[in-house]
Amino acid sequence: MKLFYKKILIILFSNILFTNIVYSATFNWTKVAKAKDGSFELFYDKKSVLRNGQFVYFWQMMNNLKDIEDDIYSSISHNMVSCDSYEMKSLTLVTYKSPMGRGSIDIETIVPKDLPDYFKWEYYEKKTTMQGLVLSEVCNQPGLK
Amino acid sequence: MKKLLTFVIIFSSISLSSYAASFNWTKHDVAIDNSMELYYDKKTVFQVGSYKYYWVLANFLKKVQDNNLSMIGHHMANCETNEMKLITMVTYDRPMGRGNVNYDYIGPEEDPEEFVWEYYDPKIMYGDMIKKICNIR
Repeated sequence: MKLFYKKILIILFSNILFTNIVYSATFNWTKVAKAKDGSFELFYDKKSVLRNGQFVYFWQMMNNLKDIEDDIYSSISHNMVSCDSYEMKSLTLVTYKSPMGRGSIDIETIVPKDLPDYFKWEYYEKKTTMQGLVLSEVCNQPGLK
Repeated sequence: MKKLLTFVIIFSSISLSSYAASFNWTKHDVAIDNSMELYYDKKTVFQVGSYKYYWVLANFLKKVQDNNLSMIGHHMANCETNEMKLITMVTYDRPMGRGNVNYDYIGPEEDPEEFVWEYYDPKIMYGDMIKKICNIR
């Protein structure tokens, strides 16, 4: 029995050590929703959800599943949200030629600089839109002050 | 043995849940003249595309201006050149990013001309921090 507990302890310690190393610089995507027509799915990284001042910031990933244009299969963006109004702006956007933010990079954009016209608050209804569902998860994340 | 196992399981679940939604600052250094100290958050350093993105906290210890005692910012670094760009910055009237917000700033929106790569020598405090951040896997 003691040997059994020892083995479990070793596994748990290794797990803590491993997760601490992995979490240093890799995304851990949580899937939130898939479009009804199956065209895309949205993920966000829980540990990247952080409040700074009046806004909450988070990293999001989108997989394009149908009607792929320009060979862009996924994108990763850093977004800011006003949780009072469910409005969002994207700060950075990187598109990839493989799913899950992998493969070669297609476009790297700092939105407020490169596409200032797109850097504006967009409202998303929290129950009926895919992005709204993500914002709802982000804004209601336990521990978010 | 059972007690130890219970402790490890509890610690493990607390440590995993604490990753959600709070900064976990690692102190980098204090300026030679003690005017400020710099921190960064290891757990939210991400390589996205060609750059590293990370959160930084500075506590202003001397010559405090406009009651800005601390600042939290989101920066991006080019690890090949040791250059950085400041994306967002919020200043607070208390240390460690606490208290009231004094100033909320989105660099590339408010000062697009200032949103340029700035080189930091690895021998100085911020440059050394970029090097450390770039070495995080």
